[in-house]
Amino acid sequence: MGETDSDAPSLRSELDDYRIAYERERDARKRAERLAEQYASDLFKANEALNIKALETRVSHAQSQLVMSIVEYVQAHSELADVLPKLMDNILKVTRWPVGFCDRIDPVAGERSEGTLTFINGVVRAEIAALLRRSRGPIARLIDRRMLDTEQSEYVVELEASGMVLAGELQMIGLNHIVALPLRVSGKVHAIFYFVCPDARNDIRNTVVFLHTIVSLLGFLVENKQKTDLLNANYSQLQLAHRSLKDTQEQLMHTERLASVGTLAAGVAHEINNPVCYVKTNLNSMRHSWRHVSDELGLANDLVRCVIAAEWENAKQIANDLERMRVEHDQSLMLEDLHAMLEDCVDGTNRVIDIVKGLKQFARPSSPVKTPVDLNQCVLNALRLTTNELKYKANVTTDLQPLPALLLDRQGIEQVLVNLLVNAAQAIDVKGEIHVATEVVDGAVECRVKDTGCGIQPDLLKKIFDPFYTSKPVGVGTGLGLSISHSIIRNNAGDIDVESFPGEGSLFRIRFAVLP
Amino acid sequence: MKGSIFSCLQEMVEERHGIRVWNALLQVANPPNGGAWVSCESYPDEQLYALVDAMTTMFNLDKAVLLKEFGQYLFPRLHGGMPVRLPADTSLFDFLELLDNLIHFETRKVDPGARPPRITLVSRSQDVMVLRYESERSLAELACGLIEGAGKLFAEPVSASHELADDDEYPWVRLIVTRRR
Repeated sequence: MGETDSDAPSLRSELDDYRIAYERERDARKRAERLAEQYASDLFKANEALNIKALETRVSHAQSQLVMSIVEYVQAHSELADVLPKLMDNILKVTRWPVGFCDRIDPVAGERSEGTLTFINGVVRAEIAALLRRSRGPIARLIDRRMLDTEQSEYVVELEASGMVLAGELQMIGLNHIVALPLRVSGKVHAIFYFVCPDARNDIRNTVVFLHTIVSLLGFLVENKQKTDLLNANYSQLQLAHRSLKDTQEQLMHTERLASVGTLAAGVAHEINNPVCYVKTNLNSMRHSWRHVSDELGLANDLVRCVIAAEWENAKQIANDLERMRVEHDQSLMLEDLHAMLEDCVDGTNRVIDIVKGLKQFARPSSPVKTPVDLNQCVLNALRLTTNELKYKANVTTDLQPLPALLLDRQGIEQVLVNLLVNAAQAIDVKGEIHVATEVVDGAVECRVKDTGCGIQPDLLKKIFDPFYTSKPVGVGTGLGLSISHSIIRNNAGDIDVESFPGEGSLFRIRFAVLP
Repeated sequence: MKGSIFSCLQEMVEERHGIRVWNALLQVANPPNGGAWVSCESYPDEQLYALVDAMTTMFNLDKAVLLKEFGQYLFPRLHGGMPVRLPADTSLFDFLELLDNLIHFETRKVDPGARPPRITLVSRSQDVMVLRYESERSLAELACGLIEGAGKLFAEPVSASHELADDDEYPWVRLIVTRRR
């Protein structure tokens, strides 16, 4: 069925509507297409920028790995010879350059010390690798001296202008530059790295700057390691010296002890002599009494024999003789005396044993060992050892208060106390006083040795703890006593000080903190 | 306002009234581009307001009713292009609660020039949800239509209305969403 006349305007009108809509939508589509093109272009550029960033990140990552590997190599290997091959390999991997050479240089002579190490990146064909190897000689002739004779940190040569043998052949395979970098350690060239690189259009500048940083870093790390090694060696030597000093100090302390023994010897001999004398006297008396006892025992034996044989007359005679002898010898008194003399002998012998034991303990060489110690006991031992030194010079009095146990080197402390007591006695001209007191003061154990000797001049007070200082006549002191005493007290975490008034006397005070 | 909103309005008018009516509306509103909007581009809000004004005159309808109807029509199309995919069991009220922090937040990320309204939860019960609506465009009616459109899509029919609240330092618009039984 065809269109009617009345439908035509309506159709036209409808067509107009569609035409208008069509034109509007076409405009919109064109606008959308322009936008799409713009977005596509933006997207392409963004993608390009991202690719560049990704490449930069990859390069940066590889460079970071290279830096890390250098640090690890230097930490792990002490020899530069171990580090260089790995470094060259990694540099070629990061730069993708085809070839590199590495020469070790004797830092003193400034000459190549070993054969050239050649590194060919894995992608290079065999015939090109041969050419690259052959190029080593001409490159060295072109560059070596310039690296060694100047302080230049990098050297980039354009092959085209170099006039170098093989330059043309290298250019034929697209290699236009040589880069050389010296490895300087403490200002001296230890190695030179050479690289043959592609065209300058690849912008080798940034890579050269990076390699310069890498090689400088290696130089710095090697230098640092050498210094650390030197420091460690010095430290070991110091440790040895310290050990040796400690040994010497111990020997010195022992020598000083022996010197004290020498000082004490006469007194000790006297101390031993006394008991030995009365033991001897007693033994003589006992030998005399023994004859009486022996006689009486002889008669008693005869008496027993007569009684057993029932020889009663003889027995009676012998009994009368025995009784007379018993009265004559005053047997009960004699037995009492014998018992007393035996006791005295035992006492005297024990006293000698004690004195010898104390002296042996005092003089025995040993390393300081800290054990729980009662300081009062040390004072008593020291007094016992010095009895004879003191008794003709001073009245010795003590005031020893109960003290907590201290962790001390007992032998050393006794040595200090002996030294102080002998010094005190030697400071007294005629008869004086020596007073030893111990007590806990302000949470510390204090021991004071006070004498009424000649005292010390104020200007000498600060010297008395110095080694080899002595105010005594030649041959009397070693000059080490107070210095060693000071050292012993400090090694036992204590303090020693002195107050002195010339003409009145001195007071030495030792203090040890009481541990909680 | 995004070109996609204009395209949706065009679709709604053409579906319901035909191309001729849309052509006529464009003649009255007279947008500078002749009505050739592209979805991904932004256009001045005034172009939409001019169209809505033309529609109220042409259809003799209240502007509020018209905007609400458009909102109902618009929501399913906007939902299809949401920058975030929600779990299938998300309820309407959960969706409305997440709207600002999730959907509008992601929208701003995808299109830094977008200016979606700020819709925050005031209160929520089983059947009623009260939201605070803040927008420089003052299209609360459109928001109500969008919420009702969402209710239809989520198969949780709701009525949405708005009122001016004055219990704060400045007046604000309260959206009240009530479940329909």
